[in-house]
Amino acid sequence: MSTFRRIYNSVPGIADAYGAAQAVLKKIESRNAARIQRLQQKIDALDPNDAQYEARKRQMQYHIMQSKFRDEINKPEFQELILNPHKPAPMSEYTAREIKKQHWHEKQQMLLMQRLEQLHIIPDTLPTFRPKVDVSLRFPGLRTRVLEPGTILPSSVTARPPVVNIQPFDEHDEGLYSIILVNPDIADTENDSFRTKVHWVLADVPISLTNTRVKYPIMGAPTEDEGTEVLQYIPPTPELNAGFERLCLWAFWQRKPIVGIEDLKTQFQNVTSARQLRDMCKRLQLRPLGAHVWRNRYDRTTDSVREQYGLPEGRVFTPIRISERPATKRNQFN
Amino acid sequence: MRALTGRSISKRCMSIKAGAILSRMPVITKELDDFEISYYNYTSELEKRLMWTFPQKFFFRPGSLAERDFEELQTRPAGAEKLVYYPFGRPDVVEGRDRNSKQDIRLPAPSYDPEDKSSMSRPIEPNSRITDADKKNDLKSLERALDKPLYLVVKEKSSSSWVFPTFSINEDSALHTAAEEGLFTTGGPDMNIWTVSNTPALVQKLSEDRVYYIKSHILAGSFKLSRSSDYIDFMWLSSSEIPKHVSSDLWNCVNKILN
Amino acid sequence: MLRLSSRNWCAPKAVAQLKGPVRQKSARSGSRGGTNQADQRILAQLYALSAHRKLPKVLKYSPEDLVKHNVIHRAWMFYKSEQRRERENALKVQYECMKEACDDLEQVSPELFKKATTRPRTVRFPREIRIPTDTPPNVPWDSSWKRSSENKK
Repeated sequence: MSTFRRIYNSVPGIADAYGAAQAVLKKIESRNAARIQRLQQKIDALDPNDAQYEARKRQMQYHIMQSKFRDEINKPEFQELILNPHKPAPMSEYTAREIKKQHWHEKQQMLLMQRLEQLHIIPDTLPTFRPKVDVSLRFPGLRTRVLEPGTILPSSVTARPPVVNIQPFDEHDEGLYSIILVNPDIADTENDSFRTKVHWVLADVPISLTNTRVKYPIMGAPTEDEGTEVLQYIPPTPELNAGFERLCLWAFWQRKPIVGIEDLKTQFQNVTSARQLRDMCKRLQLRPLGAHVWRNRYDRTTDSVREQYGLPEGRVFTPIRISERPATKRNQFN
Repeated sequence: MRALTGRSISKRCMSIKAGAILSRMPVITKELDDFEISYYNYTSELEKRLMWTFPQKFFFRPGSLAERDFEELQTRPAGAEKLVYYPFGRPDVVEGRDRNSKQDIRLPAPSYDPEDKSSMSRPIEPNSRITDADKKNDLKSLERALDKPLYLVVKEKSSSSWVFPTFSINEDSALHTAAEEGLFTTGGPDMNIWTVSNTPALVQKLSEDRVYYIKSHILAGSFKLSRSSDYIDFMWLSSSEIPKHVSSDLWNCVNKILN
Repeated sequence: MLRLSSRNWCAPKAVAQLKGPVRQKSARSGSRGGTNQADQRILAQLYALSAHRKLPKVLKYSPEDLVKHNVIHRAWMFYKSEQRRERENALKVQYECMKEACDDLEQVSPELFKKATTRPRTVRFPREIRIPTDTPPNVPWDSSWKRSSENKK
């Protein structure tokens, strides 16, 4: 790095032009400041008893934020952030948030939606949704920086719960979050179909723009910045020859703190279909804002995970011919 | 203000006059801003850095005397030697040019006879952008403020106020002809004036009276105030100087069409 | 045959045919002796046009300089767009003034209005109009212009 600095020669004249550019931008900013002040005065002059007060106020505040954004984005610190969007930035500032949001929209959000649709997460667990927050996972046994949605992970890695980070990009998306880990691929031989199982539920996790880590106590009562583990993490243990198990982590925004957490545990344990899950979410007034997904399959570590966590023995499936398949209501016409 | 004679106008009593906005267009380009100067400087440096190496063999035939003279003037960078450590970057010299920086080309100054004032090889000395008229602040001169347009304002005999010249319109004449002829009667015939259009650029309404302004440019000559006109004095002012002399009503009206 | 770099060279539309036989020479020999004059001239032109051994190193900005460059560029865009907006606004205002004047003239004097709005068949700029230069001419303004028989109105 120091070698590059030593041999580097700037284009002459860049410093003067930069100084003059900053002066010009400052002049524009001071002019816009007057306009922003006028807008602010208009907001203060609004009648709070008006039916559309909240909507109008929000709209005008949005205009103010946009004006400020257009000025601030010319500043060198934000230009730097645009060039290196992976660097940490003060998310409490609107401009930094917008830049990060833009960067997320351009790749990661699209990637997530592609994976959710390709793997049929969206019809199989929850109906379609629009991601508003960036959910990122890190497994303690895995060294990757960003886990790509849909990755196939070994059972040993997924034996322990992941570290979840939820990054909201809007002030409205701050608040209490619930996390539900859903597995729609539990083999059900009686019905020749698959059942849904809930592997992990966290509730009342406080998330803000700057505090994005999902924390919960392993033992004891949760503190102020921790949520509650309603259903303890059950490691996914796929069956041999039963294909992939998709583990979908949904992040829900809660309207209010959840009441009656003790009963919820049994309710979630009894969930066997996506419909039941959807009904529960509706009842608890949960709004899905973020998601993630990974996949598991039977590998050489699955049995040791079963042993370690006292889970029942796995089944071994074999492929059978369609002619030999027992007739059920489902396949009677095939 | 005389009422119009025998014309089909609306029944209200009003006088219509043709006003003239005579301007001298700028002779030199605008003064550049600080930002513009520094930006153009930076972009030209960037361009020089990215420019291809000068194709010397095309302009100076190898082996010719011109090539020898040219080569004598150039400072060629030293190439990279093996086994030498260059702490500030290993030079990469190709065809006598360091590829990491702009090329410094020195052109031979052509010889010229200092006594011969009309020699084609004499160095060009550009004229100063600030003329004598600028230094003396001669408001009647057309050589002042060469980078800005100058507008003619005249002092009325009756009210002693500074205005743009206005003229009454005779029978059978139009606005633009009245304005032009008025300018010649007031300022003498030795002016090369080009009237931009026959359409008025602005209307000034004073209760019932109307003044329609016609824009024109003076291309050569000078304005010599004649004694018989309604005006006793004249000035050529730029648009920043006009509001200091002209009434605020008139300025608010005419401001919109001056640059 | 001369080896020409194909990197940034756009071949001229009609590549002139080399007239005479070209002796086989090594690519390193700089002089173009041995070929006839016409061929030499063509080769010189091709040499000048091609990027062969003329390209400087690819410019690599440091992160700080890249930020500065972007800020300069953004400021310039703002600056120019403001100038453009002011110019367009001024033109709009001038048009409005002209429209108001014509509407008023139409009400006040239809005769004058007709004379003011008949467009001449051809609109010509006068030949004496001068485009502004960076520095003034030796005589900045011709004050001694006299109306003569040639330029009589």
